[in-house]
Amino acid sequence: MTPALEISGLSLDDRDGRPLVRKFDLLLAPGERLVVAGPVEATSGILRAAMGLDAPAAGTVRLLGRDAATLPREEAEALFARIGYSPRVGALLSNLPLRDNLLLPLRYHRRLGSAEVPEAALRAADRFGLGELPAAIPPIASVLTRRRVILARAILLDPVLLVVDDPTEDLDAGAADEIADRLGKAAGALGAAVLAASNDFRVGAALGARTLLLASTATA
Amino acid sequence: MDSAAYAVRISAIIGYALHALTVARGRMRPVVRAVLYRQILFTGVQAIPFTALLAGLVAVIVVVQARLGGGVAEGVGRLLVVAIVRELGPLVVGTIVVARSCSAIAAELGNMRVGREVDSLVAMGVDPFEYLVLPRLTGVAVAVMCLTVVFVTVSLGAGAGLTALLAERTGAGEILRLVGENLQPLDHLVVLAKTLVPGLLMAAISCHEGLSASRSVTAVPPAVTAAVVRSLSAVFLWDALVTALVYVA
Repeated sequence: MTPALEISGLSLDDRDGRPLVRKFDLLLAPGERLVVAGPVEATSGILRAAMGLDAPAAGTVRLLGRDAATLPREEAEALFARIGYSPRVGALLSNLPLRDNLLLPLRYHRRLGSAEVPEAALRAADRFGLGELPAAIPPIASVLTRRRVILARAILLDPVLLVVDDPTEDLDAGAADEIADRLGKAAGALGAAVLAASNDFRVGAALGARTLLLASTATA
Repeated sequence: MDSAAYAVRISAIIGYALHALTVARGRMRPVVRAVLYRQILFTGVQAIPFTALLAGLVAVIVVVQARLGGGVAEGVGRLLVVAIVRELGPLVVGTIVVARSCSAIAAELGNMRVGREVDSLVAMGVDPFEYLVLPRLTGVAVAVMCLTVVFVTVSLGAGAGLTALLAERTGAGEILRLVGENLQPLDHLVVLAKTLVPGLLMAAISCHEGLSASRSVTAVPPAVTAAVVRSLSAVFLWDALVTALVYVA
């Protein structure tokens, strides 16, 4: 069976050329759940490299058995439509209402008009506690509301792989509990493979995931 | 920066956009059309009052200068065509759009890149070129053409009215008739060339500068400055080129 994610010999450097990750290997089977813990820059870097957003210093990444960097545009779009990604930074378009942010992948990939709000969107929103699709723009919404929208959008297209970067970051304990719990239930309902980066034990517990702890590469 | 390489990059953006609009992608997705409509609203519709104001003021300047030069009604009619339709209309509208919209596009896209919002689009399988660049290119080009029509209409109307006020025996209708007589079929093509191409150029330059900003908030203001300076240079250069080719050659 094709792995959901296969990372081989991944090496990442930070902007100043200092090593973040060296020779990192990972094989994530379909439906498997894994939390990577450790230095935030390194764990976040691994997820960004996995999504093809940062070029690694070395190594290869195969998403659902395919190297996204070598795919034609249409095939790459179709591949990413099968993956839900919730980044730490820049998840939402700041000039677009949260409702439109949430619906964007659905509208783009299914060519929906702006008046259409499919049942799938309401279902995804409901899974993360959004009773209605919020109309506020991201900068004036609460961290919790933004997080609900980001995660609801990540599961909107029924992904087979969820890549979630620090889903409880900046949340208070109660909100973090709730988000972790909802994420675990949503991943369970989807049956998707999950790769999460988090140092919050609640995320791993809620996902029922094994945890991989990265050793720090920082040098004195 | 190597100017030739830069020109090639901008041409490639425009060429790719035209190819995408006409051949490659078929109908624009509704979600992309929504961005296009917002761009036309911001760049075109919301700029109409300011454009009309400048059109009226330019008409005053042209007519007063023509009168000071001792111009008769025939001369004023010809001057309105030469100055406003052929030259000032496209140039002033180009300047308005660069100042209002191209700076905004470069700032918006620069901030999106710095804030990694563009990465999020890629990760969702949303092509940033199709979602961000294509509707802005199309919207700005359409808006520049339409605003130029507004500018020329208001300016000629105001110019004719003012001339009629200043000249005792000439009515506004007579001035407009003289304007019509001096307008050549070629002028329509010239106006099209001086609006469509600069519209595409300024939008492509602004998108390029915004999306090329390095990942630091301090990179956004220089990107906006570069977008404005290069867009204005492109507008004036293209205008001079078309004028030289059409009316001198």
